[in-house]
Amino acid sequence: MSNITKVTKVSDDFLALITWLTKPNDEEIRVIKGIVKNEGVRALFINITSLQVSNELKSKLIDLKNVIIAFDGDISEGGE
Amino acid sequence: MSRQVKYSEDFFKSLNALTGIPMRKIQAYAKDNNPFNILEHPMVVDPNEKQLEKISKLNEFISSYSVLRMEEDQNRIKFSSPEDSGKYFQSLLGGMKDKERFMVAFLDNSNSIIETRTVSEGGINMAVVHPREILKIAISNDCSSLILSHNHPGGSTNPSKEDQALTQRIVDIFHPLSIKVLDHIIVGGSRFSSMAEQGYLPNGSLNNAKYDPIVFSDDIKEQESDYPIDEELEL
Repeated sequence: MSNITKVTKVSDDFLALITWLTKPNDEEIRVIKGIVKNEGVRALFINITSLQVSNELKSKLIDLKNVIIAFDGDISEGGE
Repeated sequence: MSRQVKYSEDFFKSLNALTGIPMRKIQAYAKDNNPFNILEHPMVVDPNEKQLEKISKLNEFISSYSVLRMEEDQNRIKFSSPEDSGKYFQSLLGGMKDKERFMVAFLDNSNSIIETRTVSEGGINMAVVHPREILKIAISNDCSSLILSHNHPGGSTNPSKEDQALTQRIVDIFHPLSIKVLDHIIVGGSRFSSMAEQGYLPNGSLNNAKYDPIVFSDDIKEQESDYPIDEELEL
């Protein structure tokens, strides 16, 4: 399996997991997918407040961000 | 798996929200233990079936995030032209129609992004940039250069006198530290312009560094712009 295939698989897993954990609607899934694909997973958690998604989803993403920060303390952003 | 933990009330609340484990259980366990054990060894908080499933998914999410992040670190976004940086900031700022945001990309010596930060966010026509904040971040990430960017909610990509003055102020601060300001990208909707490409980027320090907050107004910018650019740039 090539590296590209591996990353695609992990990226798909990531999207499936974040969908399960945050329950976005179809449009919000599209927004998340676009950012992850074009900007990367870190970018998703940078400036969450500016995402064109519901406040409920923003709140869940901030929860995930807090867990990530506790995990490795570095997400290239000072906080929300 | 060994995890470095930073305890915070936000973390506890988020763990509670994401897993359904009651706060009192999380806090009680965290008094004498690493709270991340709850994710690695969930039985320590005696979860029900649904909570256990959420913990399992959260663990999978963290692993998946870590792998992708490592992958990103190995393939950092690298700017080799104003078009690269323009497209990058357009993707970040192009959708901002109702407010003005000022961002800075901090780059290493190969022009790869170390990190990108929003350093100011204002209303539809005004924002305040604090040079001190940019300086703090630049020092902490040991960058070699910067690319500035902000959006014009009105859609114009013409750099104004204020944009140039602001850029000069940032150059004045970073020039003595040998940190280069490579460009200032102005985003207006789906378009962008590069002050470097247009020759408006200062090459060196003109004045003594001033660290006062810089206020700039989009109204003034778009009305008073007197650069000989009549049309929007199509890049």
